[in-house]
Amino acid sequence: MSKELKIILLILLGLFVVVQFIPSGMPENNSTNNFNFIANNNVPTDVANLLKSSCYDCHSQEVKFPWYSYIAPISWQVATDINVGREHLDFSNWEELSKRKKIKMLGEISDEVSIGEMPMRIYKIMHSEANLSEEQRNQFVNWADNLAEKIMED
Amino acid sequence: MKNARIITLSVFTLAIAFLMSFTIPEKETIATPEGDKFEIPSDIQDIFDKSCFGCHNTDTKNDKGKKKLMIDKLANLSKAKLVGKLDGIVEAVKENEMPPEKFLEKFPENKLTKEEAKKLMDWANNSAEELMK
Repeated sequence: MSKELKIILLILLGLFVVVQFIPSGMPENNSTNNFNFIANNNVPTDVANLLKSSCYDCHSQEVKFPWYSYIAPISWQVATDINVGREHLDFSNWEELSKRKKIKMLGEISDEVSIGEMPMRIYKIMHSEANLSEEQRNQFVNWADNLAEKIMED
Repeated sequence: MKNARIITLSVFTLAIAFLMSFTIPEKETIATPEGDKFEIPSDIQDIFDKSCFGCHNTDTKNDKGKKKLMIDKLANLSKAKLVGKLDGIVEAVKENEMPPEKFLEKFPENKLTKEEAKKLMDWANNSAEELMK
């Protein structure tokens, strides 16, 4: 190994160590989750499992942080994705939404899942279970549509 | 002889035109399952036509636009879906997400004026409110 290459590698290693000390702004889970979306809405087990495995890591206060979410610079991206995800939709705050907002969210959920925009591609790389089959996708979309109709009638 | 033919033809044409005026073209309103009718007022349709319809209709080549919203199919949606789409319109216009920047670079004349944007949002908002009743 040439001397220059060694120096470059050392600098990179140093940088890697240094960035670990920069706060990632990783959002925390709110453990006092009073609004259990799944229990409150009688979500069927299959769909509940899909929610937990494919949605909740960005759209709830019940995030399961993977090992790489502690390592910069990946942690920065994970933090951003969770923050943006929760801003759009946070199932842990579901019961605080108005009826109309709930219906809108379910419409969006149904659309995004049916056209394959959600779960996000980057998430599916590390979470193979979020690679929904056609059947799972349909099941999920039907559930969202039905719940929206039900809320509409209430 | 020739004159008589022209007169006959004119009378005939007029008669047909007269009869046709009774067949008022049916307005395109499709009843939602609940029996209410959803109609887009013409001034709102004009705004749609100017800035939205090109990408948000059944026959567009813009796949993404089509998947998110088909303006010509709004009346076919269930009440719940319709509320969602109307709220989506409000949000997209309010956040300046729609029409997209790239589209406006090409067609700056299709930008919504402030008044049009407000009119569109008010209409979508009120229609959604009405459906929720």
